[in-house]
Amino acid sequence: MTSELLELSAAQAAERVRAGEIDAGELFEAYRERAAADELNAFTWVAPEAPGGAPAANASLAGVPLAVKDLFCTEGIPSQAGSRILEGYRPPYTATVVHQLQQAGATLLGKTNQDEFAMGSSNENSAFGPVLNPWDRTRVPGGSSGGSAAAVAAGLAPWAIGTDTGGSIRQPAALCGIVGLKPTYGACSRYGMIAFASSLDQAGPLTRDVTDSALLLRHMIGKDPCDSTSLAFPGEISTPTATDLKGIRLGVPEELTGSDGGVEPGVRASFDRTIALAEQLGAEIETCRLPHAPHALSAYYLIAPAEASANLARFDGVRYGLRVAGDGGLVSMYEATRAAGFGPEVKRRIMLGTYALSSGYYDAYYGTAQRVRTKISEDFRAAFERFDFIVTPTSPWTAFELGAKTDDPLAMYLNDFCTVPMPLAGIPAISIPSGLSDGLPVGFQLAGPAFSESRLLDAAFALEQAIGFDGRSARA
Amino acid sequence: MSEETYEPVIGLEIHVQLSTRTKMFCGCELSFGDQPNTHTCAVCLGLPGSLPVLNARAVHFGTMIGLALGSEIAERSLFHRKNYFYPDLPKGYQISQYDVPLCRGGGLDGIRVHRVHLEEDAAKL
Repeated sequence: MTSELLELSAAQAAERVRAGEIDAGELFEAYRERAAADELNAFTWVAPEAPGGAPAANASLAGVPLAVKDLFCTEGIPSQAGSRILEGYRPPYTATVVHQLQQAGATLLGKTNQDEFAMGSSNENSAFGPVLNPWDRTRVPGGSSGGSAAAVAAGLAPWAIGTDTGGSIRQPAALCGIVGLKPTYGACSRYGMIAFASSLDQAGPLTRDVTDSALLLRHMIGKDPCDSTSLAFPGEISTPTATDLKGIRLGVPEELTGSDGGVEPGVRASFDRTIALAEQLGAEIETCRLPHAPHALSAYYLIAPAEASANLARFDGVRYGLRVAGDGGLVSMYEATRAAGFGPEVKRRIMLGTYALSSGYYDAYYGTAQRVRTKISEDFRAAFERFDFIVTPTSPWTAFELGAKTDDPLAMYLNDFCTVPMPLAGIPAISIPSGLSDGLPVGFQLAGPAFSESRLLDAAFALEQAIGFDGRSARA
Repeated sequence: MSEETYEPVIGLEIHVQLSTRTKMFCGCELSFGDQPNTHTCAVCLGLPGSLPVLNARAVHFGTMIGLALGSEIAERSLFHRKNYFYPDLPKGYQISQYDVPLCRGGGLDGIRVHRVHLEEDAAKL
């Protein structure tokens, strides 16, 4: 692939295709070759050939190839959610957001690796092996949308979609030096997304820059009659153009930026530099409080496993996916199938969730967690009366070495310290690369009120231009 | 113990199939006598990624039953997942109602009605 083609952002590539300067088929084949030669294990399936039929010349996304996280159902194409229990499963229908993007002209390049059922923060929980971080192949890409993040960072795909439940778009975006956006809950349809925690799951873009995220999100939003929790998005997602942050008030929550959250010095330094840049761009910066945010992680690790324990009950070997016979009886078949089909982290969360929901413990665990969730929402609501956006580091750490945290699930869960409060409150948040610490990317997170995506993207765009992050070395 | 110490209390759980055109949580036709597995979709098969959408007509009928029985109609009602494993239960749970049913109380011909709620019924295996 010519480096010129590779260096075009997806939005630029779409524009060139529409202008007739690039052939969509050539663009697809160039990326297809790169994806097929993937050495990062970012893909679980790559399109064997360019899709037949040229995209409409005026289509917004103009045939630009798209990488899709494995847990989105794609008709006739393996959709395995990173799990052995769904190995080889080919659904008879396509997820609404994927369908909408295809209608807008995107072409399916491949399916990307992920933590099993989106449970993980390092992509080491995939049944199909870990994904390597293109900045340093001895390190993790983050998770659970690690394949999507690594593919975009390494230039194996111009852009990708993923899902975020507790940080699964933003954290891998941060660790791979790209942009990741978790939209407002309900902004994008969940129909066809293999469910992890239904009250938290949202689809969103992982892209090289903020403009690409805006363009992708524009075609992902909307009310879907097949998803009762989806909403008609108020207004459109505009192309970001801001060049400054004049009049924008940024709140820096003590609880999510201090050493309590275990924020590494290098991450903190990059965060402080970005705050200084924001101030130069005209933003007003003030410290604020989110008093219940430190409890978000505990609430999340009750609510998400509780929902997952019901969502994953359908994988029992009866109708599709893996079946292990056991001793011939029904219960034995269930047990043998689930024992062989689910990985250790998925089993851990099913057991946690089943326990949290069990009779006699329901209110003490699940009920309390739901009340904490309400408190977290109220904290954000109060903060947004004074501030346009809340800003934090995306992840307390940069990419860590493969295997470094696999023996300690609690240490792994701390990855999500700064990203978990937002999905609990249902609000949108974006991570943009803010620089490097010891050669590894650092993410800067902005969170806004529900449906503030256009303003959020605008502020992120102004900061992105000022930061001038250079991700080319990961694509080399 | 003598037989006088017992008082018979009989409770009935009555299931009524509503005459809606489509199923409770998807757009598949509700009909009888057709070939098996012809009125199915991703939702009623419980395929991964599918989501239920409540049949508005079923809520209407349920409310009508509640009004006829003199029940208190809930202004806000909730569905719950009743978790258990059985091969004819595609999702591993049944969508039913638990603590906030559609209708509470009421009665007919002196027989008290505890509650009226809506739930899905899995097809025969």
